[in-house]
Amino acid sequence: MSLLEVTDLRLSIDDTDLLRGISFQMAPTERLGLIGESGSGKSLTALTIMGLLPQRARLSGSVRLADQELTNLTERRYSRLRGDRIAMIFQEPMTSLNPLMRVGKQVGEVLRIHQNLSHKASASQAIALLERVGFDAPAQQARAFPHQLSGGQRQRVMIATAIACKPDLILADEPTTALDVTVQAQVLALLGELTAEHGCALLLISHDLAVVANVCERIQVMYGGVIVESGPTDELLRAPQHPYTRALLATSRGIEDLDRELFGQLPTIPGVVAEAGRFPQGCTFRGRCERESERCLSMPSAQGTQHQVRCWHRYGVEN
Amino acid sequence: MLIADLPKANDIASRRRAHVHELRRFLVRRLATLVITLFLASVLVFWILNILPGKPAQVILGTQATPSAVAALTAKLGLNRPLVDQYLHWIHGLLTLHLGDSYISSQPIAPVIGAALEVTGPLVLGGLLVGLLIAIPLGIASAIHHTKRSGVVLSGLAQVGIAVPNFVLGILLIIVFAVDLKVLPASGFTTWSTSVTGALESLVLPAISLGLVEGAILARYIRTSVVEVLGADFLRTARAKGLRPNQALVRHGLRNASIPVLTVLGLELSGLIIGAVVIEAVFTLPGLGSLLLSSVANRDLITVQDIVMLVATTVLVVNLIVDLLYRIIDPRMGLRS
Repeated sequence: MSLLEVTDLRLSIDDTDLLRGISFQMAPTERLGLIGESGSGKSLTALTIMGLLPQRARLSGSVRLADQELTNLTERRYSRLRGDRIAMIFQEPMTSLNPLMRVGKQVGEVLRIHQNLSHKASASQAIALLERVGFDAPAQQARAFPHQLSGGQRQRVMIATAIACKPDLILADEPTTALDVTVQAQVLALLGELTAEHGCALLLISHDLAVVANVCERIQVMYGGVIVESGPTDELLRAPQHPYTRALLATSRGIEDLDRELFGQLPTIPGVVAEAGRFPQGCTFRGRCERESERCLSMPSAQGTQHQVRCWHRYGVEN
Repeated sequence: MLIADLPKANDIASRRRAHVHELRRFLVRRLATLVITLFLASVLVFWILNILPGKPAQVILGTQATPSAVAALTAKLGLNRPLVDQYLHWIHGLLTLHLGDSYISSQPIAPVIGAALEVTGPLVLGGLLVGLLIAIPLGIASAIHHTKRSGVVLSGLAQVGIAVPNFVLGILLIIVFAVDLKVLPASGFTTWSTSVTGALESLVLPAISLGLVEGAILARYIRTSVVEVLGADFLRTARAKGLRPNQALVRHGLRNASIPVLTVLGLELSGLIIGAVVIEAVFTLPGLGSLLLSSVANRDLITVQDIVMLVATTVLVVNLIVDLLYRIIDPRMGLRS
């Protein structure tokens, strides 16, 4: 049975279509990577699962967490799930913590909300959690304010908050994007370690293929509000079938060949990403694709089972 | 795991010691600024009042007085001495809490100002209370609904409140509650020693007309501040932890939103004191404002000087307290500057 089942999610804000039929499943304890450029709808997918969309968003489709439909929950019932069964880590560690509250209290708060712990009990639990995420003097550091901590430390605080109630699913939206490269690796390792320890599933959102490839078992590639390709990490990286995934990989692999390429051109994807909501009819990658044809005027359906691709002209497959 | 990016524990302890040290330095520096400001204010007030035409002795004795009588009274009041001497005498009195004697009645000024304060103090505080009681709910409500029509209506209401001068409001309140309904007195003041409820009753309408306008102004600031906080990332984090929207706003938003509002509140106090002068005239209350106006008219310069210095000190001290308060609320706010 799958832990999370998203079916034909469609989202528009102010008549702009932002998600155009997202469907995927996550098994319990699975680590799934969601990758795409900004504006592709990755963060909105996560916010939809959290039920934290702006009020004027129009949503259709279904999100089920362990067979419970979430999209029609009342605010009161949804809030009982948030932080307890689904937790989210945000991109900006600088602004995602309350600047006026000591970090220990911010970690402990989630325990007071869901487990009815006293202030004292939640405080000592918060210290234990801070220790678990790598603070070397958690009792003192729990009394620090966010501005007294580094970006990496703040993101550790966010992670401590997310794992506090041992949720079934953690959504991490670009958790390391704002961090230094060296700190990035530490935070990612910690995230992988803790989700494995608590047996919770992880949806890791990033624009960085390397980040996702290191942590996740499976990868989904989003472009223009659509999942264009998804499959096991190895297979997707070894034999990408969608022209967009191939192009994305080519731009990333360029780094390894940098010596050779240094005086040549870095590989790029021709064209620019369309503005959110202004993606072309039919295949969403139309206009930038080297394999484009008449058929691409209609949206291709997802083909394949383990490794799914939405393309009329898949690479490595006779179409 | 590598934890090179974590500061050592004693870093935080020593940081706290440094903080206490900085707090002390901050206080010393701010108090010094306060004293200098008060000194400059006193010089300015004294100088301006003494270059104004209309000598006190002339005013007291009237237009028919002989020059020799005027000169005699001037000497008696000590006003023929050099200005510097007069200034030093006055300041020395203030520092030793002797406010001096009135030129007109020759009576000590302190009890007169004290009696006036019994009216103006509660009036200003009452006005502040009314203002806050209006501004906080109105500001928060119009922020929460700022995208909806109800939010626009609430903002519009505040705008109307700002546009109405407080004396107009005072007169309207008198017409409705004193003349038509006859539930509250239209003017005058029952002293606290006569009747506490009587004193309170005579201050209700003035405090409302004073507070309503200030409240409307404050509501606009609160609205802006809360709207900003509603869009903050940490509020989204609070929701992601499982707080409902209103809980998130109360537990995480309001403290953050209060910081800019507090600054405005300190400045508003001067507005309230100035407003009190006008309102006291409308309701004929024997407060500081009325005393100030009559003292100016009578050229009772020393009383004017004392009142101005009293008000200046109050405003400066309140602003210092506000400054300290938001440094307590916001740990990011440095103590330098």
